[in-house]
Amino acid sequence: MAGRARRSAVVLRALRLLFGLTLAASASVTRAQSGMLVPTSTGRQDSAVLSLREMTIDASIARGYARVNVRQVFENHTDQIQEGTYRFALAPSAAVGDFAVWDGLVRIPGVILEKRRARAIYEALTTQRIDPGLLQQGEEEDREPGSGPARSSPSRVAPFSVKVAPIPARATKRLELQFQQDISVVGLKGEFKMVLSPLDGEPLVARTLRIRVGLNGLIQEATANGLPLQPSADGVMFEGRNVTLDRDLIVRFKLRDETPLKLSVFRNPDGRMPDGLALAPWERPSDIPPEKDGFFLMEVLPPAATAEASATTPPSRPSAARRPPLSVAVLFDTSLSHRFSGLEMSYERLVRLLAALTPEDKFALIPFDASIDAPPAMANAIDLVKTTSLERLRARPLSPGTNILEALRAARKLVGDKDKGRLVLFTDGVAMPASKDLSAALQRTPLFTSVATPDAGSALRAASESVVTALSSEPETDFFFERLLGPVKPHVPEAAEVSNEGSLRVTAGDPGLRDIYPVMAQPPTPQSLSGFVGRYSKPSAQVRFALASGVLPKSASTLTAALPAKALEARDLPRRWARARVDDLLRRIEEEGERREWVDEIIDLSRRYKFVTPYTAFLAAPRSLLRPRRIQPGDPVLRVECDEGTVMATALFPFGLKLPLVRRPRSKVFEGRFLVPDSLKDGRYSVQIVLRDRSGRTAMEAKTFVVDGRAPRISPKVPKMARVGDDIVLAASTDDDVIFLSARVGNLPPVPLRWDKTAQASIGRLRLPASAVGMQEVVFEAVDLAKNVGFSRAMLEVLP
Amino acid sequence: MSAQETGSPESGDSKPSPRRFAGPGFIAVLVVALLVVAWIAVFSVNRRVDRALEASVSAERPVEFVPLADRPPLPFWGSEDVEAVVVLPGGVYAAGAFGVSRLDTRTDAPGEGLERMDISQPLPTRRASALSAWRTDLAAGLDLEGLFVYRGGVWSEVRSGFGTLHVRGLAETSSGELWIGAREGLFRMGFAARVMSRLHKSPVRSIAVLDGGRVVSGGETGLFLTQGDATTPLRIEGAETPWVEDVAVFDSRVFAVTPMGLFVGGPDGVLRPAPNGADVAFIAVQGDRLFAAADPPEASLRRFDAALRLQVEQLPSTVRRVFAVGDRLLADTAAGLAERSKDAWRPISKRGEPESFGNAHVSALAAYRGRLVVGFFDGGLAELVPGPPRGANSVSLTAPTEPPMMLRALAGGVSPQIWAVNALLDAGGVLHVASLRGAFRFDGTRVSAVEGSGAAFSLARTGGGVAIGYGEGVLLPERRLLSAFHGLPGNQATALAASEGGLLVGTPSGLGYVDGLKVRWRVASGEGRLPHPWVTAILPLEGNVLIGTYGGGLARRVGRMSDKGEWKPFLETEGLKVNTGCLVMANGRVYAGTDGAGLFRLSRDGARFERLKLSLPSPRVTALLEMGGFLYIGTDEGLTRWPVERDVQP
Repeated sequence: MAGRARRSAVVLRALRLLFGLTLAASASVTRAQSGMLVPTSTGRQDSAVLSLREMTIDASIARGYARVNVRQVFENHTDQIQEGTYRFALAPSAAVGDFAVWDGLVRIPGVILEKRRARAIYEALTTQRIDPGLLQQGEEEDREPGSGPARSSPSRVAPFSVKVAPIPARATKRLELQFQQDISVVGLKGEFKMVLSPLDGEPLVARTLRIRVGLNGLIQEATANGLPLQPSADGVMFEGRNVTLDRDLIVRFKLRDETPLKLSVFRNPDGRMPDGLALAPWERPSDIPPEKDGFFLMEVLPPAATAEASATTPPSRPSAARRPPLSVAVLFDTSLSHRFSGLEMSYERLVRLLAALTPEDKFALIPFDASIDAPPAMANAIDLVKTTSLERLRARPLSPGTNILEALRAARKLVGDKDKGRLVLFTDGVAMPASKDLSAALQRTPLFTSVATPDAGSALRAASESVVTALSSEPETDFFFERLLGPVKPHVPEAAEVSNEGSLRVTAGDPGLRDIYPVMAQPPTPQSLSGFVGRYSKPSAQVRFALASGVLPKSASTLTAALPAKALEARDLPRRWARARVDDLLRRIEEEGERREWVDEIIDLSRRYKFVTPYTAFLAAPRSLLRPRRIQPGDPVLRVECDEGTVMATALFPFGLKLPLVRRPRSKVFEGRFLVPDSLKDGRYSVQIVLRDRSGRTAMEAKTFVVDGRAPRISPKVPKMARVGDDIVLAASTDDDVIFLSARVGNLPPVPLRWDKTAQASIGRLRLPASAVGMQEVVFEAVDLAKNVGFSRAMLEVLP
Repeated sequence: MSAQETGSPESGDSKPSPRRFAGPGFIAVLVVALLVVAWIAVFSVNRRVDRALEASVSAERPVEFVPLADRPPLPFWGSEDVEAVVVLPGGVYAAGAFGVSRLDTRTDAPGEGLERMDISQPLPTRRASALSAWRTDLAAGLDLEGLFVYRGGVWSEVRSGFGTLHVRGLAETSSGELWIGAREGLFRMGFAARVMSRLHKSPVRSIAVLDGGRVVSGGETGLFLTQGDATTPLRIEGAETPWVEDVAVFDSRVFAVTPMGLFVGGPDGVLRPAPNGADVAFIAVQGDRLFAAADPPEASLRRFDAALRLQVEQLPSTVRRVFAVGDRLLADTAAGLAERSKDAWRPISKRGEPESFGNAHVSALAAYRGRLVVGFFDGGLAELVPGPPRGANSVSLTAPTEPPMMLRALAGGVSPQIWAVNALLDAGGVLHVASLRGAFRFDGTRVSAVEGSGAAFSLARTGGGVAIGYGEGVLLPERRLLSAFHGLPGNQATALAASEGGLLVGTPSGLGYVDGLKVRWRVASGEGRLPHPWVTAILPLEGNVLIGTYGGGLARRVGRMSDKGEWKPFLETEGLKVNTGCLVMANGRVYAGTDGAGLFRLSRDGARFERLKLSLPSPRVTALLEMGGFLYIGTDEGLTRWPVERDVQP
């Protein structure tokens, strides 16, 4: 066994070396961890260029949900301005709610825009050297979901990425990210995990690391892995200096309260939170837009299997001895993109799966890439077959291509259509076809998917019975294997069925429930926390909820509670509901194709509740485009292009002028005319723009402008003498900021001068007409960005 | 062309040659380099310490009180927004862009409220931003021109060694010290002492006095607490900008208004957002209540108690600003000044002009259908119309002998497209408008845009119609655009004037003459004929043309347009900045308006210009027009007029 492991390690090292040589250029982007800033100049994480100076994580876990705020400060150690790509690996259920980059002392908050528009603005801003940050989910390329299969792009493994530029020389860049994610609770235990260690490469070193996680009554459980956390008053904490991030943040906990049904509500029809309400670091007032409806979450925690429930629900820990035999076809992706630690992870999970199979089970291991290596038949899962199968897999070279559909068809043929058939896929999720094609290949055979990247992608998620990713916690991974080895058709409502009000009914009262979606572990299983999130339109003092039969013991399947007119505690619910609604729409899009109204609703919900979807992106950029950037002393006009919803804009100038800007009719441009004080010297100045939107929210942005009152200098180069009919070259060197340069000989029309690399000057050509005979003055005129005009003169004698 | 890539061809040849370390020479260079680095380090440390400890900049300078000569009053039309109010034994005083006024009870109609009596004629400019009682005197701060004291009906300028202060805040302590907040920092002046001390150099917009001799000052760069000679910054958490607009002390706590709303100081000295403090623009404390006015203005005031519980007080009209004056609380509203008494608000002084034109920065004037039309630098158009009879209007900023007039938006605002007016011209019964949003025609009822090329800067009537000066050239009535390509000295036509059948075109880079759709001649920079290439005003006279420039004063061109012409500068105007279009003939005399030096007049013999000592709203004259025997003078702080008929001086 040890020898095999050694050989395996040698093989993997060899593979690493091979791919390290061939794919070095793309290796950096495959590393997924929480919060790394890769300098564009080096293309890889490089602490000598950008190091992590400070990292602070504030989180809170409650109701099977974690809300997290991360603040990072990176330091540029070079003398050059750097640009970087910030990547943050998040769990599939995570949704980024806020993102901001800091430009010096000014926080530039992200604005959610439709991805295509955000990309367009980003491009426009980068060409103007304005400082934007674009955060988007999924690919770093501008690909819309639903626009066909993704290319084999390594960027798929970076679910959230943001370009950060410029990072000034020898200066710091501060980034803030806020997100929330579901926390699976299985067997009364849950785990919140934030990947801090890189899957590959050198770990970051945080000069200062502070972590605070509020557990809200949950019981912390020790874990050998992860950073050593200390108990605190309300949870756990960690503080350290020069911390090497080679371990993840793992918070394991156990439920204290095992109440089967628990209701949380939020309703705030006023639209404004009461003043003085202390918001946690992970909360933003804008998270909760005005909404007349209330939101509720019904947490469902089925107790350990009872006599009544055991007949209908799978046991929490199905033992191999008690379960019926299975037929499992294991598909293992051996394509080139499935490599490094991802390959190791998949192999480890494969070993775990094979270990769980008993001799009564039948299995077949099918390695696949462009070609499929399927055995002729299923074999009993005895140790010898397992070992030889693994040896065969390890002996197979990695090859380009991923013929997943053919592999699925071959696997399904092997397991047949019986209930005990299972397909298990170990892949990196690259180059997956659409879910419709996957489902067609699967027919009705359940697929369990393990992906070695942070996100499985919507196609695989939709086609799979259960999915586990590189970021899945240990309880989630346990749950995956439990479902894989459990009965295939549990007698509980399926996810699609429980997405309507059928599973959660109101048997007394009329609160106007609607849009109810299943969340957390689905379907509900004993000692696993699941739930339903929905909206209610009519507050009621007493509402009797009943869960569909079979989920809970009859005695515990009802709950009478109030859906109040105002409840402000569970402030996570509106966004949680919106996220569930978006997930449902994405599932429908994946199954039925895009519809404009679904896409519009996703974009609307994303913008309203502030979280990123595949259709939207955060654009952390100045929300107004300032122009001109260079101005002349005198009476310049300041123009800012603002968001549609901006109703008021005011400019605060460093010389004390507070200038209300006027909206240009039928445009988004606000403008103001002002006088630059005579005493203001030439130079770069900052102007702050205060923007107010329709809802009364105020935002502030800082811009810079340059006061440039100096006329450009011109060094002309003109021949002293020429003859009529000669083609003469008029040349001049000017200041860098000159945008127009011309020369005029006598009364002839002016000739524009253009840069000539060979001559290392701006030149223009002119054929001298007969009318130019005599001593002529050549006047050069240069106009700079601030519209300053400079002149220079030279003399030219034109001979007949 | 990539002018940015322009570089010296020689630079490419100068390749560095490898050098070996030369023992003593290298060490000497190293030592020098180390010394330089050490000096830079010491210098930068010192600078940081200076910035951190603003107290070390404290300095004392002697103060001199220079009485100002009284000048005959001129009428004023402009902003009536009140920026400061103070109560003295002699009455209530108000200050704003209109100057400083005493609010007197009307003798003819005591029930009509208080009447504003203008007392600011001797002041160099009108825009007053701060007032304070200084014992029994009145101290007034002008935004641009310094500190003044009004004592016994006479204004005195307070001159110190700190130069002209841009005063934005004043406060008096119980011990009689006057604290002055200015763009140049925070200053203190004892009542008896004839010295002024600077406490810090950070710009100040507002001051509040605490107990124990402490003073809080806030401005563009933050909030500061000064005690004795020591100043320390106060932290504002979450304000996103250090800009502080207003400060107050209430319930022993510091309150600061920032662009992000109201902030309140906590026990740790840090200011944090106050509940219900969003959109607060100005605050004032009266007794155990803090009052806040909102931006954008609302017809209500927020009232906070010590526990910061909020109540809202409704007012009859929108509130711009709120003031605490002794134990009185006043508010500047859209209808005028109102005072709170017994939990109710009552108007005490009505506005003369129902509409506000901001700072009333006049940039163009025209006579159109018998009325004066005013174009604003950062606004649209207004006209000067007869105001309501005095009996119903308490404002008395016009000279007592003249009928009341007021500014009113032209034809109900005309068109929102017209903004930032540069020139006005009545031609053929149509008012032509040149603005930053293009050129327009107004026929008395309707506005139509003139198809043109972006921002328009100048207008002139020619034999064929109206010529329009754009940023890209001059559009002739024949719809032909001439620019630098066609021979003009520059593209932007800042001044136009018809002369001898042709058109004189002033640009920032010289003067050109167009005749028969062709540029006949031009005068550009460096030729020694124009005192400055930036031509802003042209006035054709019989046989000669006067040219105003921005930065070079005035010059005269003698001779016909077809001749080469002779150029004669007015040496006494050297360096003057003649504003665009500010060169007019009125009652047979030539007047020139300058930027910062007031109004100039050409002597009758045409030999020299001299400055007129008039009580202008501001020395920045931005528009001139003769109409009905008056020279209307537009400034960056409002409009006035001067009866040129009475100008009989040589």
